[in-house]
Amino acid sequence: MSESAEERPHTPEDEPPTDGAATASSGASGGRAAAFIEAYTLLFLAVLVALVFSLLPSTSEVFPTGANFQAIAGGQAVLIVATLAVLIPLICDEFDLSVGANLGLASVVAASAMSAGLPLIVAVVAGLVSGTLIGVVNGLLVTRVGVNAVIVTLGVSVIIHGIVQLRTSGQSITEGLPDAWLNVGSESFSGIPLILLIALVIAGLVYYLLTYTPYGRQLYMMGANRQAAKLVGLRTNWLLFSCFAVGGLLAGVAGVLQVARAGAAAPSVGESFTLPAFAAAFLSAAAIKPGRYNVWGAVVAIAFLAAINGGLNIAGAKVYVADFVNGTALIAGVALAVYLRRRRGA
Amino acid sequence: MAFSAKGITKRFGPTVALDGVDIELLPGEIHALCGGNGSGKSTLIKTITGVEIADRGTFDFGGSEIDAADVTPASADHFGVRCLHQQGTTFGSLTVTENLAAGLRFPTRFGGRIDWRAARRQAVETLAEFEIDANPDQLLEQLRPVTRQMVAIARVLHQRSGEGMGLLILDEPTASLSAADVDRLHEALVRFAEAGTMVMYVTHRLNDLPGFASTATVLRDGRVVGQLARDEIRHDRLIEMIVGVSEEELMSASLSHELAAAKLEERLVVRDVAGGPIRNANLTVGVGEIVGIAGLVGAGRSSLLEMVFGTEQPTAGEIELDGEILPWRSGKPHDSVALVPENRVLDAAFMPLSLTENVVATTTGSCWHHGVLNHRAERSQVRTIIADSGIRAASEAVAFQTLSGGNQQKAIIARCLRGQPKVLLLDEPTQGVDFAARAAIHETIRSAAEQGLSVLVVSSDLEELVLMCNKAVVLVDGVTTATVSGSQLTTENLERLGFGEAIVDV
Repeated sequence: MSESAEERPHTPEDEPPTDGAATASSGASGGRAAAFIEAYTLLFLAVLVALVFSLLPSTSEVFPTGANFQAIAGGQAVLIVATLAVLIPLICDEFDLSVGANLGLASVVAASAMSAGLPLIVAVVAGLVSGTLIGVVNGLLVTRVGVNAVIVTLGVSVIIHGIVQLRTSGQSITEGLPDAWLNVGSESFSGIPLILLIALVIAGLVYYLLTYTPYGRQLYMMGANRQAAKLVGLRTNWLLFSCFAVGGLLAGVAGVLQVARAGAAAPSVGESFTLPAFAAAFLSAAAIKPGRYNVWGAVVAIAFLAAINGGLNIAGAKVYVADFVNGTALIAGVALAVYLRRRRGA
Repeated sequence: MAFSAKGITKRFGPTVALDGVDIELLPGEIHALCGGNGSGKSTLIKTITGVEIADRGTFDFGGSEIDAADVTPASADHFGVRCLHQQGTTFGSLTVTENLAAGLRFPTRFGGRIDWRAARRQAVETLAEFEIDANPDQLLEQLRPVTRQMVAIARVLHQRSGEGMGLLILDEPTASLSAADVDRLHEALVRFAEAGTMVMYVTHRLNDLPGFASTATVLRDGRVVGQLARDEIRHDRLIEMIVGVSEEELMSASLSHELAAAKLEERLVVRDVAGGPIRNANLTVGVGEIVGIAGLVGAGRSSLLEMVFGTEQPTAGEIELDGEILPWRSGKPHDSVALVPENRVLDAAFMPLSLTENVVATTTGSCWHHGVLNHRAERSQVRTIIADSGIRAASEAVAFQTLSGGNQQKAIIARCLRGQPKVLLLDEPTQGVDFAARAAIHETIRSAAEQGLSVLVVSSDLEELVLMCNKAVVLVDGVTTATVSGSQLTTENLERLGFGEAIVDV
């Protein structure tokens, strides 16, 4: 709105030369094919990786079995929910680095309540409330105090780490966890782990929230241009606050599910989720709906990473190989997203 | 060691920004460069400093002739061209010493450590040399605006390392200065000029020039319309050259213009509003009326729009819509008022989102039925809008950033209209938009006004105001000084009024 950049005739930079519309990828049927390939490449790669490990002599005995599928798929359920917790602030163009620690705190809170003999439902709700509270604190610090979200969530995650150590003295909580909850982590329906089904249902809910509600649309507008979002009348501060609160709730859900999956609440389990969750959230912009962070893209990204990590694991690769894979995936995901955005802008 | 430019030509697509401009500066000269908005002043400066590459022409930097197409910021710098842009390039939170040293190289000691003692000594010398009343350890933000401006000038001049010829270009240096400070700045500039520096001085404030500038060159539509020597520089002469019409011609010239003569029902009333650059603004917009706001850059036009929109707080006065005073809502835009901002890229467009999402941005709820956002309904509605507003796009699903500027602008106007506001505010609605799109946008606005929409439009394109508006309000230095309508609504009158001149009645 400033009057500074005046003086017509205007520079040509903000005027693409052709008055016509889309240049690169749309228009003809060739464009549609290209868009299809762009959307499904990552899914195709995931299937390809699975096929390779199914045929490779060193892994073909174990990889393509139902038991292995259950182990790998069941192991991704918590990560899926943690990725959703990262995804929502990320759509708003904000980083929530506390998701991992928050997840760990929620699992400790829920497990403590369970082992203290409280009713299961109370313990689960306690975990969700703990996650949401941390999200609310993040949101308030970002919107009210105005501290950068990276700093806020980094600081909060360190504080959470301290709280958890204080509460558990570094010991895992394993005693007195109800079987009813542990079964959630181990049961399967027709070969599909129950916990994965739960995670996918939650993913479906988040998909609905992001795609079929005005709220979700507004989050994408916030991420695309916050100043414009404000000028079209969105309550930008409230939206910003809410994305951290919703992210916190999802981290709480992930923490509670982690108790069921692991049969324990380990004090520093959360940290191991932060990086893979960010890798998957960034990679989501490279699949299904290229150019924007999206739920099913994140799920596909997790499947892709799980197939690689699982296969390498069976092939006897050392544990640290997973670090290489996740770290590379994070950078590659961001690079790909940047590239796609630039190409679409061309 | 003089500077001259010959035949400088620069096109932006179909528009000719500079058309064979010749200009010459002699040592010790203060050369004023005048012209209306869009006359080519900024473009000329940019070609001299190498920021924009000229298409044709030659520069002579103190004897070294160089093809204008070969000038780069580095070579301009080498030849001693120093430019101080309108937005001061000073660092408020750093000290005077740091600000002065930022332009030079910091003196260093062993290991690359900054030698602060030497830097401070240099700063003291510089302050003395330029007669600046400041302490080297003071933070720049604690200084008066004129002193800050002087430090900025001292810094750019001091970068000159002996060689080169010393051409100082100042773009609207007095925009933020009071009258007394303007005099102080002028005294300093005269001193520099006497020491051999050439000064090119760009300004809208024509009253500053008589008695100060030694030469004035006037640009209009990218051409030099004339040059005035020191004793010829008078306000009325300058105006006549800038506007391009003599008073006699003005008398006979009358753009045919229809005014809805009927008394309109008042919708928007701005009464004694002040705040920021606005000192006292009064205007009314009737139902179905299109009202223009004319004035120079910096007169406060955009601020006035933002106050009506609700994003900038007036410190005095009232804004009334349909008889009710609009309250300040901590920066939240008012309902039933929509704004098309001047800067489309920064303030309006959601570039990575689709055309559909951009058009429905303010009205996302309208397709939300039974808890589900109906994407198909959204898209079919947007298809209709695309057809109606003549947006050229491969489909309603393309990313917004793939559209041309004109089509983006049409889409943003369509977005605003879709919200069915009572008042539409337009800030430079057709800036950087091609001719056909400009006509289409005018048509859209006009037909919306016929349906009862009240429109307030700011534009530097005076012809646009004359074509679109029922009446126009002129803003001079934050004050609404005049309202013109009917046969008085001509580009010449708006230009004269914008410079604070009286109008010529037909």
